[in-house]
Amino acid sequence: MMIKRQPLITVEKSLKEITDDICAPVERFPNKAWWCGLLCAKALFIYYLVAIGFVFAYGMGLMGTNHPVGWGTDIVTFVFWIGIGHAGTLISAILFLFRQKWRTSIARTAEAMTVFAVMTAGIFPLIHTGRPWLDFWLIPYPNQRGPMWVNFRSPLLWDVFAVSTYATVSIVFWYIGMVPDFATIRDRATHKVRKLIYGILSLGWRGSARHWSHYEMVYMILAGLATPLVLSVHTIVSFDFAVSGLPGWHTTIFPPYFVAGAIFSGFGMVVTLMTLVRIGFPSFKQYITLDHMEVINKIIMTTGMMVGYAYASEFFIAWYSGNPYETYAFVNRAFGPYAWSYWIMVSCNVLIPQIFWFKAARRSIPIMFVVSIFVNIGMWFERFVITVTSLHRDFLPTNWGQYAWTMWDTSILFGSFGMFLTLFLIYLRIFPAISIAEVKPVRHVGRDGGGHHG
Amino acid sequence: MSDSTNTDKKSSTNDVRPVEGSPLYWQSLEELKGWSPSQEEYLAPFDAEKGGVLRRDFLKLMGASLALAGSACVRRPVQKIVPYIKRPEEVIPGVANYYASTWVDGGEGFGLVVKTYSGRPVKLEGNELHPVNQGKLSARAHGHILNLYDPDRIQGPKKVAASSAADIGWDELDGMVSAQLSKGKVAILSSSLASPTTYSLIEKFLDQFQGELFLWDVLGADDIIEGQKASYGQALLPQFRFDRAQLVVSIDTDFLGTVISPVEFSRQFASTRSPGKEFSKLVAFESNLSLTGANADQRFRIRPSDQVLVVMGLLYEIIVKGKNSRFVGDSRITSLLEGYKGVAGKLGIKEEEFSELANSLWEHRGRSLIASGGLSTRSGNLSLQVATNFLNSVLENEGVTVDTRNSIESYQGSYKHISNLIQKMKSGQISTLIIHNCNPIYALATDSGFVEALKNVKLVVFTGDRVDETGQVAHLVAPDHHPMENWGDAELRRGVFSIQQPTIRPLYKTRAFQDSLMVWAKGSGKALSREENWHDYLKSYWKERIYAKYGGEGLGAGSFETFWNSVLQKGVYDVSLRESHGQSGQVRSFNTNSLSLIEKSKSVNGYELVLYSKMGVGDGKLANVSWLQELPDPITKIVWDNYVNISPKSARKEGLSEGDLVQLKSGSQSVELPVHIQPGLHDEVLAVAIGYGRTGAGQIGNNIGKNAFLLSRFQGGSPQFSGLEAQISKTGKTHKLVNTQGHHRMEGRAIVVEATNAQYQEKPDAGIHHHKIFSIWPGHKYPGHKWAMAIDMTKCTGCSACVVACQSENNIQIVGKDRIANGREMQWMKIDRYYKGDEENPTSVFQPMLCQHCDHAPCEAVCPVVATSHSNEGLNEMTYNRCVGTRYCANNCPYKARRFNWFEYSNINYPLTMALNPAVTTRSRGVMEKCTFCVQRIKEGKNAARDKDAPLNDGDIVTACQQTCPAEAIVFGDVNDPKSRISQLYKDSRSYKVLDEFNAEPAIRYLTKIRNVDHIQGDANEEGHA
Repeated sequence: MMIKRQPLITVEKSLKEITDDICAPVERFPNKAWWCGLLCAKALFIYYLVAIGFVFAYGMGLMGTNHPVGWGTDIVTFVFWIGIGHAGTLISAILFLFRQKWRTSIARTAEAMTVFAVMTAGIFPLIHTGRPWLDFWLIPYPNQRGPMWVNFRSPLLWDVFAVSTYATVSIVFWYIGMVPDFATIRDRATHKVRKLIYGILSLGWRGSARHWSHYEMVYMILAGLATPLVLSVHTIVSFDFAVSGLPGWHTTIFPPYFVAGAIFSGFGMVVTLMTLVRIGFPSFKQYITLDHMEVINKIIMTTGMMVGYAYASEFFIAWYSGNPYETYAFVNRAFGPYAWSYWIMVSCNVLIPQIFWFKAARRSIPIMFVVSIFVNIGMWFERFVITVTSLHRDFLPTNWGQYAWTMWDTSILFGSFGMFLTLFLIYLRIFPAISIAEVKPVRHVGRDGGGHHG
Repeated sequence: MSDSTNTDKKSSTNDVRPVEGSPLYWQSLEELKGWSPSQEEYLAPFDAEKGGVLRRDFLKLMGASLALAGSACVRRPVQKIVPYIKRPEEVIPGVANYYASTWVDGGEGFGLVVKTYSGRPVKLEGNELHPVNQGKLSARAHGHILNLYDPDRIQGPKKVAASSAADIGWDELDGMVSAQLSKGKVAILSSSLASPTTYSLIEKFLDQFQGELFLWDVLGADDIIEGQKASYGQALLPQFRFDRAQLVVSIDTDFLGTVISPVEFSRQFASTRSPGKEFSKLVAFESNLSLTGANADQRFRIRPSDQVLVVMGLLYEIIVKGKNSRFVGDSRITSLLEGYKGVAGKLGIKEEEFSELANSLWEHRGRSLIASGGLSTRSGNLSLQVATNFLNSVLENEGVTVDTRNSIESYQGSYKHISNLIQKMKSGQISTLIIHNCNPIYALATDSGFVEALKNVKLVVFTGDRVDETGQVAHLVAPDHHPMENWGDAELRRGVFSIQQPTIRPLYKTRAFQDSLMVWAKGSGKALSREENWHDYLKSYWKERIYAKYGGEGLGAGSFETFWNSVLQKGVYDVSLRESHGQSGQVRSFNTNSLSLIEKSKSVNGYELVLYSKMGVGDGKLANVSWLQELPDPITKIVWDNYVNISPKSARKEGLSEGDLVQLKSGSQSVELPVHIQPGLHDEVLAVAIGYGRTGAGQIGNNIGKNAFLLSRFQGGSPQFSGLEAQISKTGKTHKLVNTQGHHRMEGRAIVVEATNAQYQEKPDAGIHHHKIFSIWPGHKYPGHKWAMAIDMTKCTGCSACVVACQSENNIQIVGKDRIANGREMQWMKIDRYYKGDEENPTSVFQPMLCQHCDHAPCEAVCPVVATSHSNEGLNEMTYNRCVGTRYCANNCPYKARRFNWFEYSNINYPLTMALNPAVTTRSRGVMEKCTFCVQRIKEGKNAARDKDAPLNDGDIVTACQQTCPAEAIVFGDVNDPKSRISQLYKDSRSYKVLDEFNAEPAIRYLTKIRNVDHIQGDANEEGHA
């Protein structure tokens, strides 16, 4: 006896209906809600650029970083966005390799989220340096300065490679996946310019069997390439901290802990965006179903508990190691001047997702939206806690100090959301937000007579 | 690093001068024979109008260009530099010349060596040949260089009317002064005149006009001198020989920080602080927690009004109870002392501790010293001084630790003088007043009546360098040269003559005060001397009065010219050991009649206010020197402010927290000040620093803090700064006090390792936890030199001279109060101060903290662009122009020794740019910086050795901090040289590494802090090891 699968698309649709549904946002003139959203996001984006401009013009001193807290909002927000970027590749590559058919309707948008999050994140290491105009010195290339070479021992350099590789592979993977769909839009285009643009984007796709054969092979290879990156990027980001000698940073648990946290936050952001997409494009509800959301919520709860385990384990090791500096660092996290940030982190990441033990909560759009926002907040604070509380009180008590948060930190933190949302809103209008080519084969899943893929 | 020190010296070696660019030798101006006219003109510093301007400007431009050329990380420094066409013989671009000079500041004075580049002084160093400071300087003395380049100095004479100053020509000013002078009733008010030549010139001047001289210092020692006169009949300031004392008792006297000659005292004191059998002990009775108290082995909290009680109580214990000393039989004395029975109880001190101290004092008779003096002991009468003198006499310290031989001559000022002056002005006996080198309007309490009395004076001429508080009420401002632009001399100790050479041509249209006197006298038809100018006068004074008297023995007795050149070269002529300057071991007999001067101190309702001066800002004269404003107070670590110190207990009682603004009222005066909660302060005491609240200092020093002089009492010549009755009331407002260290406990970590002297003698490495460290990496190889440093925390007093010396040497910029509030201080060197024990009376430890130049440097591994790297001599080098500014290195530094340029701090304007050391790169924004172990000095030393074709000797290279450290707590050198001091100290059983277990392998060794106590308070080693 086989348990019958839930249909992946709630309403039985013909192939043309699916194409029409998904292409609609790309082909229709946008509604007022979208315009409002875009204008707000763009305003925030411009404000972001202005803030960055000021910091460039006057120096890092505008931000709250100081002695002893050498890294602050920029690095915290960088790790935050990189973490967000994890869910996309995980959904599109790992779940693809595991033949998880349910991924098809959310993979495209999750991947878009990844690409935009990595782009947003990528700005931060560039702007956090004292002399950003010299950032290119971090790239090893033959030069006439000696030649001066980079320091391959520095985790920051590994970071440069990890993030740039991840960004490249994610973009290529995302783009290759869209090629058949671009061809569909091209074929449906009524306007010459539109036909030309999508024609170029579709790389001459004609949908022949040979094309499909090559396409699927490339897609699989890219999925295979992207999979280790999901683990490596955040592992290497965690090395920025773990390789240093600072109590609270110097921890072997960091790589898995960061990866779990990244998946956790990424899925949180997926829920946030998907609920918004479902509201914005009601017809997508048939493709992005409550079943999808429930699965994601289960992952959120699971990874949330993994993160919680990591928090507990850090405390245990701090005590067990007998290292007074590390013990102090963790006691200070939970009960020192930044205890509030620690408890925000614990509540948002460990306690609040526990509500997903209840099926009703897992399937309630308002509840999951609120929880996803808390997860985002919690994960930002996690990086704040790691970065700031470890730095602000380390070995010599005379060096102890507090982070000097300024309005520029606020501007840059919130401004980065402007960049992300602007990109995302534009994406929703010019790229097919659900993979047409991948949804069509799963329209029979869970239905009689179909589902032989099952 | 700038390679400017690499200039090939061989090609320019001149036979006349033995060694160039070596801090041990420096050139006198006239030493050069056969100089060209152009040089003479360069060297004749007094004639601004006479030609040579272009060449001078060219020299300045050259210096500035060098600084720019050296600072490769300043982006796009497109400035054309032009080489010398005909190079002046003594100037080699990039090679410093050193000139001996003297610095005197309100009584305190040192021998200096001024380091100049291309005719531009950039740093002050102590003159090693000078017996007073022996190569050491104080934080304030270093700040003097910024005073020279102070942008707020006026650039020429001014006429002041209704507080606004207008430019005026010297001729016009001279005419006005001369006209008034010839009407008589002349007076000169000056701070102490350490210069015998100036003194003689002034005497001649005043003779001509039947005028009178009034000398007054804000932080004078007139109370001590008067006390000496009462007790011994000699009005002099004896030498206090801390180096001969095995037991020192300080009565509210911060002799290590601010009283009389702290640099000298610190050196002497530190010389007795070598752990072992001959380890001295310091006991402090204090109201406020001062640097001296923080260094004391035993510290008692007292009220200012208890100061006399302490001394009398000790006398009671020794004479009456202990039946010791030759005064035992004197019934007059015993009956007087009977009144001081049970003092310990009154003071809240344990009876047995007090008697033990008295016994110990008696045991150490002839080898002890009771120190009292300074602002915090000036309660308006001589009681304390007389009592102290008596106790010193009882303890047979006379002639040993209180030595009248070579008495201190630089403190001549007296409040009695200024009181007389005020009386005379009031009665209209003075119509011309020349105010020189002091600021009475700022520093005299409002009840002195000085301002009102001044209104009776027809012409007030002020010779200051700015229109300050006094300048604003003067009629004419005739700016004197800065001492570094002027000739001069000083007799700091009897028989110790030092010379002051100009080291830069006057920057502005100023004129030497002495030249002014000569011009004014001449203008009224009276000649002061046959010499035409001050330089000639000085020279002939030395010829006729000093050379003729002492014969120039020891300094080229050939001819006066040889003698003179020799004096200029060495900077000092020391004939102090001649018998005419007093005999050592001379015991004066104490005049017991003077004991009647001892008054029972009145107790006060509410709080007792004590005023004190700070290491940095001092009496406020140098308030416009940003280095000193930004120098963290050694105790409170607060910068850019003064405040009311209150004890934690009293703060709780009053419901006050740090930074609350209170109305501090004393008598009829009140001042609104923020509160600082200070452990170690007596619960009934409030303490406020003077020197703040300037209104005429300039753009840096104006309106920083409040003027605490307002709270003092003038009392007709016996001023009261201590034991003033005071009340505080909360205002509900707050004021942000900014410090560079917010945490004061060591958290049980073994950062400063302490042990008692007994523990040390039993086990020399007492207190040190030796960690077992295992590494699979053999480490770097250092085939040549391996630079390293050792810091002896038993000797370090925390005086912070090193902090400013480092700032001056390494072009470290100041950032201001707001940025320090955000944690952006830039000083490469900081003095960590930890409190241990209870908050009521904690013990303090000081630990200079700087880049440790680790062998396993955590910063080096994490820099993505290799901007910080390890040299093969063990230096952790910072390549500024490669730095991108990720700040990862700073995060990974366990000592947090790195400083980041958050803004473009080095963007400073002329003339402050003149103070930049061209051997050190200025750092642009976005760049990390830190201590370099003075790599420019290492390079200079190595170059000099290479030029001489001789091996580098231990001590050839000294870092700026080491050079200035009065306690000689810092030793730098090559640890690969088995004979060097540093390699000995590396092996010393007291040496340890801070955060040894982190295994960064720092190159700095700290030597444990040994205290002369029975038990270490709140011992970190017991609380838990780290």
